[in-house]
Order: sequence, then C-alpha cells, then structure tokens
Amino acid sequence: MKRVIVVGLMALAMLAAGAGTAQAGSAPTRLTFTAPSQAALSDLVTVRARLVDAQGAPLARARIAFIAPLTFLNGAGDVVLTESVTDKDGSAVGTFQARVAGALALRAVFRGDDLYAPSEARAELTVAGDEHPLYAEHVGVHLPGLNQPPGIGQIALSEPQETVISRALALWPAMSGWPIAAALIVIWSIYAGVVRLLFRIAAPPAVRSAAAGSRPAGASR
Amino acid sequence: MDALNVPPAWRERLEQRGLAPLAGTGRGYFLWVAFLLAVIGWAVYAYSRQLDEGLIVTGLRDRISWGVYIASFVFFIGISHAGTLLSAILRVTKARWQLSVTRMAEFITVVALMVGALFPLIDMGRPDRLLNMVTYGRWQSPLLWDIFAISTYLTGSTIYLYLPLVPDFALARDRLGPTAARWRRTLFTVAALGWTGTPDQRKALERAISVMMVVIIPVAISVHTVVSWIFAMTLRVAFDSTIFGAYFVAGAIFSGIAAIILLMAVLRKLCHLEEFITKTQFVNLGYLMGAFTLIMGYANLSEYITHGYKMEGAFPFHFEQLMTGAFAAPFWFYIVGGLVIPGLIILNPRTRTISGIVTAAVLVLITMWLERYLIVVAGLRVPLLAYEPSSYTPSWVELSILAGAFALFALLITLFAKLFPVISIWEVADHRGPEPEPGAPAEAEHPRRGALAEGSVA
Repeated sequence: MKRVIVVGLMALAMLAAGAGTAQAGSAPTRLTFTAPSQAALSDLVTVRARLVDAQGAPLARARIAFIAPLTFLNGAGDVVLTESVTDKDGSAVGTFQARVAGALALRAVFRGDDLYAPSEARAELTVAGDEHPLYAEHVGVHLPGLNQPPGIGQIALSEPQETVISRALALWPAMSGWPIAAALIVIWSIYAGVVRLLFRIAAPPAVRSAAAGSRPAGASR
Repeated sequence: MDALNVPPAWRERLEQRGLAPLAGTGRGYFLWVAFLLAVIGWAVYAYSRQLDEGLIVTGLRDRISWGVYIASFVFFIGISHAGTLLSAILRVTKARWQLSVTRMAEFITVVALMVGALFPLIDMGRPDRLLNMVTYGRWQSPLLWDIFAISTYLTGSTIYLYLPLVPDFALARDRLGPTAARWRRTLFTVAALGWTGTPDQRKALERAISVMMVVIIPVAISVHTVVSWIFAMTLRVAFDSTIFGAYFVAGAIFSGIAAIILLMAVLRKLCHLEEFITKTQFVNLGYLMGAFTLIMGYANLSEYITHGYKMEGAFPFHFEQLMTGAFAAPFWFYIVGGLVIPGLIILNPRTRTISGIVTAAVLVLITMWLERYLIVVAGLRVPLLAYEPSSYTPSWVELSILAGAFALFALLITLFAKLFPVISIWEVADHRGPEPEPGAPAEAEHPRRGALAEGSVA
C-alpha cells in the first residue's frame, strides 16, 4: 500500500514538474470578457474581450475565440461562434448571430502561444425567443416556381399587401412544376409517336399476303 | 444506312449462333439460375428482417443515413448508361463496329434500371409510404425529379431495346419454327409484329430507331444529372460541387463501358460468338474506357485541388478522411486501381488484349462501386456541428440485399439471353459484315446495297 502511495506521489510530482516546465517559458495572462446579458433570437450579438499580461499591459495580435457549448440531436460540444484578434489595446471584438434560444454559457478563450500562457473568461447570455431551427430556412437563388416553400403548413410571416403584382406572383406556386411537366410532355409525346410507328409495322394481313412474294424476315434462305 | 453483301455461309453461321441460345437449354443453365435464385431468396429473407424489425438491423443511423443501398442505387443507375447512351451515341455517329454489342448494352440498361430503382425503395424502410412521394411530392424536390427521370428513361430504354429486336423476333419466328416450344413461337410471333420486311415496315422501323436514338441521349444524361443533384443540392460539405452533374454522367458512362466489356466477354464465351464479337469490339470499347479514365482523373483532380487549396469550413475534415484517414484505403484503391491501372493496361499495346481489357473493366466496376460508396458514406460522415464523427459499417442485412441485387441483375440478364438474341443479327449482317482479314480492305470499303434493302434484314 505504502509503495502504491509513493509511486502515486512521485507521478503527481512529475506531472506538476512537467506542468511547471510547460509554463516556465510562458508569462501568465489575464482575460476579461464583456457580453450583453440579454439578446433576442436572431439578434447580432457583439462580445468583447481584453487580454493583458500579469502587469496589466495589453497584449496585441493574440487570437481570441468566443465559444459556447451547444447540443444538437444527441451530440454536444464546444462551438466556436466567432474569432477575433486583439488590437494594440489588447481588445478583441466578435459578432455572432444568436441562433439558439435559452441560456448560453459563453467563453472567451486565449489558447496561449510560445510567450504567453492560455487564459479564459466566462459570461452568461440569455437568448429570448421560441425554439428555432439551426439551419437556414431559405438558401440559394429563389427561382419563382422552382424553389417556393411548400404550400401545406406554410406560415405567413406578415399580412401581404394585395396588389395586382402580388396576385400574379401568388400564382407561381401553382405553376411550380411547369418546366418539368413541359419537358415530360414533350418526351412522352415523342415516345407515343414512336409507338405509333410500331403500329404501322404491325402490318395488316393484306399487306402481308402482298409481301408473300418477297422473303420474310430472317428467312433469307 | 447501306446494307452489305455478306457471304451466305457467314450469314448462316451468324443466324445459327445468334439463335442457338433460344433453341435449347442445358443443365448448366438451370444450375446457374438455381444458384442465383438461392442468393435472391436469402436477400428476400434479409429484407423481411428489415421490414419486420426496421432499419435498426442495418448500419444506417441518424447521421449516416445513406449507405450501401444508395451507393448501389447510384452505381446501378450509372451502369444503365452503358447501354442506351453508348449504343445511341455510337449509332448516331454511325460507328459500325459496335453493332455486335448494342443489344447487350441495351439489356444492361433496362436490367440495371430495374434493379437500381429497387434500392431507394429498400432504403426507405417503409415501402408502404412510396406513394407519398407522388401524392405529397413537391416539384421543387430533386427526389421527385428523379422519379420522373428514371421512369422516363426506363420506358424509353425499353422501347429502344425493343425496336431493333423486331426483325430478330421475325427471324426467330421463321427460323426456329415448329422445333421451338409453343410459348416461344407465340412470343416471337406476337413480338415480331407481323414483320415481313416490306418497304413500309422498314421505313417505319428506321424512323422509330432514328427518333429514339436521338431522344434517349438527353434523357439518359438528365437521369444521372438528377441523381447527382440529389447530393449536390443538399447542404453538405462533401457534396458541395457544381461539377457533380458532369462528374456523375462521366462516371456513369465509364462504369457502363466496363459493364458492357464484362458482359460481352461472358456472353461471347458462353454463346460461342467469338467470330462475331472480336478483339475489335474489346479494343474500341477499351479505348473509350481509357479516355474516360483520363476524364474521371481530371474531374477528381479539379474537384479536390480547388477545395483542397482553399480548405474552407469543414472541408479539411473531408480531405483528411479521404487522403489519409478512415477512407484512405478505398479512396487510393479507386484512384490507382480504378483509374491509373486500367488506363495503363489500355495504353500499353502488350496488355491491350481481350483478357487485359476485361481485367481493366473488372477493376473499373469494383472501384466505381467504391467511389459511389465514398461519395455517400464519407460525405455524410463530415459533422455538421461540433460532434464526434459518426461511423458506418454495413450489416449482414445490407450485404445480403446487395448480393441479392447483383444476383437479380445476373438472373435478368440470364433470362433475357434465353428469350432474345444477344446480338442484333440483322444489323450485324446488313451493316457490319464479317471481320476483315488482316491486310484486307477496311470495312468502310465493303460493297453496300440500299438502306435496309429488301430481303436483307428481312
């Protein structure tokens, strides 16, 4: 038992020594983090961090990551919301969009470098709003009739002003598949034409007997 | 198209060889069919487990929700281009050497489409919801476009397969006569549409083939383009490509050519067609396949070098997993075994033999399936959010169904070969003729008669 304790203590001492060695060349740093306490869903949130050394002198050109732990489906992890580099005053400013409702434990993180040791600071942000999907609802080029949102269950975000143009545009969803339908009609019409030619091949008996003088298919001998 | 004066003895041999598989069936044939049915039966059992217990019996989960099924769907739809597209393009360009293999190519098209179209249904887990795709389908969805494209292509390919069969059905009707089973005689009589080779019939047939060979090309291209859009229009890093359409079509033709070469080699041997399917067909198709190794190599280089240069967003993860990570072995096997080695085999005159070209085709087929697997599985493995990358291993159910699909493909080809002449006898006789002896004038210098001259096709 004694031996186990001794070995454990030695291991701890070695770890501490290792940690000390790692920190030996790096000066300690201090990070202060300012973030608004409240925001609404989809707001752009601006956060600030200031990095100084042990004497309070600002550290410039240091990369600061603004991080929040997020969960999606059954996965969870730290997500970098935005990153920024400190200016000559040691300040870094980042902006991100609040895309998840609820309380967010934000962290500003300086990961350290050859000269300076890492440091981090925390702030709480509460995002007000309903549950909101993490994905963009509307992406890409909006082609009238091709990528309109579905009619069933569609939510009107605002009461539209009814004009002649809006009434005309409202017809587009009904015409959604027209380019595809038109292409299909053309191709299937050609198929129908080819099948009609097959009916012409199916010769009537009169033609067959008239052709009896000539050799039948394959009976070239 | 002009028709040739061919030696009567050669024509007689062609007709005998072409119709021989229709005349009798050996014991080996039944054993082969029984083996295929056994594999299919096992696959049906595996599918019944999936229907009973749900997709949990597969390796598919929420993050990697497409696997072997969708990779095989893309693969089979790809090789379906073998046929119609290749046969149509070569017909349009009046390449006569291909006439011996167009029928096989068209077989592949129809059969591969039939088998490939089953996979989305299997992947759905709830096939009873298939009709929802139509009743609640949205015009905006590439999935619905795919349903239209595949059904249109399958219909067109079936018509295109049938048209040149009409004179051969008539030939079978007249040549096999009372020696054939009654059901066969009835089949050939009905399918021949009363073909006697009258000028009206020939004109109608020529016109129908001409129309279809032009129409089927854009339809075939649209099919695989739409299949690629199912991926490219999804918000996924690995699928984010503007060249996916062209890349998928090129890959489809590439694997299609390999499928023709392989089938050609098998049927040539089994049906004793060595005189009519010669090294010419293998070498010419080999050249086409060689050209496509370069096209595919260029497409891969273009895709990975542009994304790899920028290394934007989550692409470094995808790049790493393909180049050195979890999928490095299949990826490099695809590049080396599917593009470099087949290209070298075809470039080198010493390896450009029938067996060399068939080896290259087998490599291409294996690696093109792997390439589809990499697109689907490696693509979906890239995390969308900060979670650990998922993993996917096909279960015995998926592998059994995959084996069953290949067995079904082979079974349908086997049955087709028993019902229809595997080479287009009338076209080979009238428009290609015998292989010129070494040192003899090229085939273009053969004396020709009028287009589909009376008494030639018929």
